[in-house]
Formats: sequence, structure tokens, C-alpha cells
Amino acid sequence: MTGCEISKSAPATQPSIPSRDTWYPPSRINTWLVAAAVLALASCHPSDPPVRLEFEAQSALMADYSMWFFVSDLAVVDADGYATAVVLDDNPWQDGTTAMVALGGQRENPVVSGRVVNGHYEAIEFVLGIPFDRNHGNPLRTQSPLNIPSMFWTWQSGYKFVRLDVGNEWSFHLGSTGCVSASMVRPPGEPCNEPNLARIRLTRNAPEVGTVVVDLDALLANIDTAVEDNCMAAYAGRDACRGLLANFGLDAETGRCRDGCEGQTVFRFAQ
Amino acid sequence: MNLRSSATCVFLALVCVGCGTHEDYAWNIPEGFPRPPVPERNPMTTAKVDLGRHFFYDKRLSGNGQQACATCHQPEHAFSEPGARAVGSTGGINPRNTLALVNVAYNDTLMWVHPGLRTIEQQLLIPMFGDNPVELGIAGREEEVLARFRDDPLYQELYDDAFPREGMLGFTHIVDALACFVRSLVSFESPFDKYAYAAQDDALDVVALNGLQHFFSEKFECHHCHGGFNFTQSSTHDSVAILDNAFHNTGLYNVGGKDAYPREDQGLYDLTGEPSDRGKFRAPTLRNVALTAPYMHDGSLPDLGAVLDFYAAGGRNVEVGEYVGDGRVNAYKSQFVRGFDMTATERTELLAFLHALTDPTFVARPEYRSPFIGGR
Repeated sequence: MTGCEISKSAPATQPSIPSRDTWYPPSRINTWLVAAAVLALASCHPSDPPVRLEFEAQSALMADYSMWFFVSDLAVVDADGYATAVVLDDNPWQDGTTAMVALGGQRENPVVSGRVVNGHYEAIEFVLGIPFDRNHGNPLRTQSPLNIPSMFWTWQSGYKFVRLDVGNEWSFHLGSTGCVSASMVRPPGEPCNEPNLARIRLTRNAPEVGTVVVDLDALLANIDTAVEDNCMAAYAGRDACRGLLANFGLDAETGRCRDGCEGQTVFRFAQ
Repeated sequence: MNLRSSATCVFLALVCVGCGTHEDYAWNIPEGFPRPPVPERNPMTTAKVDLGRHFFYDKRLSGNGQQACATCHQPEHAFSEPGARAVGSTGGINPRNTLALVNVAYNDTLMWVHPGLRTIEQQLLIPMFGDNPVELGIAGREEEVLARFRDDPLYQELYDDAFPREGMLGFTHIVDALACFVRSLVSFESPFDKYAYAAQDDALDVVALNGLQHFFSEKFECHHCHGGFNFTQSSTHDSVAILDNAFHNTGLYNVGGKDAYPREDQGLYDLTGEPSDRGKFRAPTLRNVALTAPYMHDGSLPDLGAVLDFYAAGGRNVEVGEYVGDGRVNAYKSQFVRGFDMTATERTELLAFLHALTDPTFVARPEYRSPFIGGR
């Protein structure tokens, strides 16, 4: 066994890892994955094969938009269901475990890159957003990309996981809701009622290098951005916002994945 | 790299005790707050900051000796002034309101709108040498202005301390020293800071605390543009690498119903020529905002109550005068300026919160004030 194999996780079906539709609270898996990443960092060789995912926004309906989102805890999964954490490269768009993808707009960063131990993999998994234990830290002490002011709400609510601005008329900002603390500038002690963290799983042979389509028309199916009000809070209260979350596989009522977020329609590998 | 430079510093400090040439400036930044980025070629030193302070308050820095930087940037107003629009040393009127100098060191861009202007050293050339409008009006009188300081024994001493062995005083030295002084003007000791970052639960009363909740709520939307630790999206610090566009049209004007701002100043549009950039200006910091009335880029709103009413209305309908037009329906208005219903209580609470952003130590700090007794 090489040192790198220490960073492999148990299959997702084992009780030590929460099952995919009830995988929250994230503190458990995140601590675990962070530890895995640190181990991988310490023990993997820089010559490990690269991971390179290029996100590509597609929309036949919109030209003027900007779509920013966080990708956390990226892992590759083998045929037995073992997940191996990807150690992200060090650059301003990503720290060890979280990357920010920016598509459209003035500044773009389509690529998430890192390394993972050599192996045969059949899927990638990532969390769309910032898991709870990193979502409410002191904003003064965070490093890039977690210190971008326009991606942060408050200490209480944490980050905007997804920020989609269409023209100058409509916005969808996804983040955790139902976060309880003494005020907007105090972190919650307990995970938020609706974490709204979608766990995205994309299957393909040798998935560690590839183009991931971000289908904005699928995300905005049934939304008329010229008419509809912004979705930036209280998602469960409006049909339009419930639909947006459903397109990421989320149930707006619970703020959790419905059927493991299998029903998400936004992300897919390019053919 | 930080580790290595720290180690180098420790090493140099050990071998250089008594040398007196290493960087020695102590920031007024409380524990936990990030440091601002500082250009490598102009490191902070106490001697440069002190020399810069003298220039800042000295009217002899203007061509005709009538104005200092501090004429418009008055410390008791958080280095802004109560007039709506700045007046230059030769009487010319600037179309814009004097910006406060609060945590300018953290600004990603400077002035009301100037996306290419990234350092204070670059920015200073505009008030010093600019001719449209004339501010300090040094252009054409360079040698005369330099001679005033080269011949002054006080400045000779300050200059030798700040720039040892650099020959004659020149404008590069003046700019660098002024930039160090302006960079030193930091403010992080408001009641809000004590509540938010020092975890003092009693630092805000319940009225201001309710105002804080409104400020950061989706209903009032204030923090979308005035976000981050400096209450402006255009703020950076030494570990920030990525910033978003931070220029916004707030619906202040819609001249002739043509989505225009007054011709004399259309904001970002005047630099880019892009129609959608009409009326876009940088969201300034709200730190010490209660000291900096009047408000907006042209000083056209008299007080904070008027600003809240303006945003509640989702812009301004100008009904008389040459700028008639309904800014609320300006096509380029930020989608975050949509208007909101605000009760009298909520208005009072928001005002209390904005006042809790005033840092009493900032305006009282002797090292930020004039070094000249009775002015100069």
C-alpha cells in the first residue's frame, strides 16, 4: 500500500460515511475529507496524475449573464464506490478543498485543477457550495477564494454558493437559509435548517479530466427572468425558487438533496 | 514565502539593531484585521508617514499657496468636507463631492470611478497636477513649489529622515510620502467593530443592533454593494486576489428620460463609452459615513435620512430644473436598487446603525491631525 491510499474513503454505502441523501451534517464528512486532503497532500507525490475539470456554461437563451459558484470537496469515485479526495492546486481561485468557478461576466475562471492518486475512476463528486464548518468563519481571516466580498453574505448566512446574475434584471443567489445566531454578524452554532448544499455526482469513464457543461437553460427552465422576482432567500416560499433548487437536485422545503440530488439537470459531462 | 521573509526579517533585525534603515511603521490595525496591500517600491516607514502628514496639511503644496490637501479632506469630517462639491485652489468647481479618506489603503480602485487607478501614488497625480478641474494646481509651477520645501529647514530634516541619501527632494518623494500618510489613515474601532469583530455584545444598543439586522437583510439589500469588512465591494487586502465589478448606477438621475446622467459627469460611461456604464460610480465605504455629509457622487443628498429615503424609493424622480427625469426607471440602474417599504422605526434603527460605524478614535488620533499649530 502506498502512502496515498490512506486518503481513500470507505465506500459510500458503509455506515461510517452518511448515505448520499442524508449526508448532512457536513461537519462529519468535511472534517474527514479535509483530513484526507491533508493526508493526501502530505503523502502524495507531485507527479500524481492531474485532475482538470473545465466548466462550460451553455445557454441558447441568454447572452448577458455571470455565473459564479463554489465547488468543494471534489472527489473521484472508483467502481467499488470508494471516493478519493482530489487535492486542489494552489492558486487564487482555489484553496486545498474549495474552488470558485466564474463563467460569463468580466472575470472568468472555468477550470478546477488538482491531483489525485493514480487509479481507475468512474465518477466525480463535489459539493456545490461551502460546507457548514467552513461557511461561517471570520471573514477577516479567510484566504482566497473565500474572501471575495461579493460572494459572502454575512457571518450568519455564510457564502453565496451560486451567484447567477442575468443582465441587469434578475439574480439567483443560492446559500444556506434558516441559520440561527444572535445576529447577522455572529456565526450559527448549529448547522442551518436548510443547508442547500447540493452534492453533484457525474459519471463517466476516466472522469478526472474533462469538460463539464453547466446548462443554464436547464437551470432556468420555467423561469421568465424578465418577469420573475429575484431568488435570494426564502426559496421554499415561491414556486420559481423551488424550481431552481430542484434543478440542482435540492428540495427547497428541507434544504437537502432529494434522492441524493440524482435529479439535478444543470451539470453533465460534455460528450 | 511569508515564512522565509519573516525569517529574513528576524535575521536582519538581529544583525541590524541600531542600523535604523529597516521598515518600522506600526499600523493602527487591531488584532485580527488584515493589512492592506502596500506597493513594494514604497514601503511604509514612520518617517515617510510623518513627512507626508506635513505635506498633506501644508498649503504651500498648491501652486498659488491657497490650498492644502486638508482644505477639502478635513479630518473632523473623516477627511471629507461639508460642501456638496469640491472647489479647487483657483476657484474651479469639481463636479464631484469630496470622498472621505477612510481605509483608502484597502481600496481596489480609487476616486468615484476610475477602474484603472490602482495605487494612491497614481491617484495623487490627479489632484496635484490635474487641470480639469484644477485642484492643487501645481502644473506649470513645479520648481516654485519644490523650492518652498527644499529651502525650509523643517522639511530638510523630515526629508533626510524619510529618504536618506536620495539627493534633492523631488515630486516622487512628495507623492510617496503623501501616499504613506493617506495609507496610514485606517479606521477599525467603531462600535460596530467592537460588536462584530471583538465580540463585545454590549457595544451596540438594541436600536443599532436592529439596524444592523436590517442592513444585512435581503429586504433592504444594503450589503450587496456595501459589503465586506469595509462596507464596499471595491475593497481588498493583502490576501485578496479576486474582486468583482463594483460600479453601480443607483437611479439618481434619468435626464430627459433618456437613461442619462448630467452631461458633466456620467460616471464610468465617460471612461468607457459603453451606454450601459452611464451613471455608474464606485460604492464608497460606509465607515464614518455619519461624518461625511452630503452624499452621493455629486453631494446632491444632504443627509443620511435623505439617502435612506432615496433607496426606499428605488431612486430619485427629479421634477424640476435642467435634470428633470425619473431616475427610478433608469434602464441602467442596479437591480439591487428596487425600493423597499420602510417604517419610521426601521428608518430610525438603520440611522442608528450607520452612526455606529463612526470610529471616534479615527477623528481624534493626533498623528492624523495637522502637525502645524494654528494651521499653515
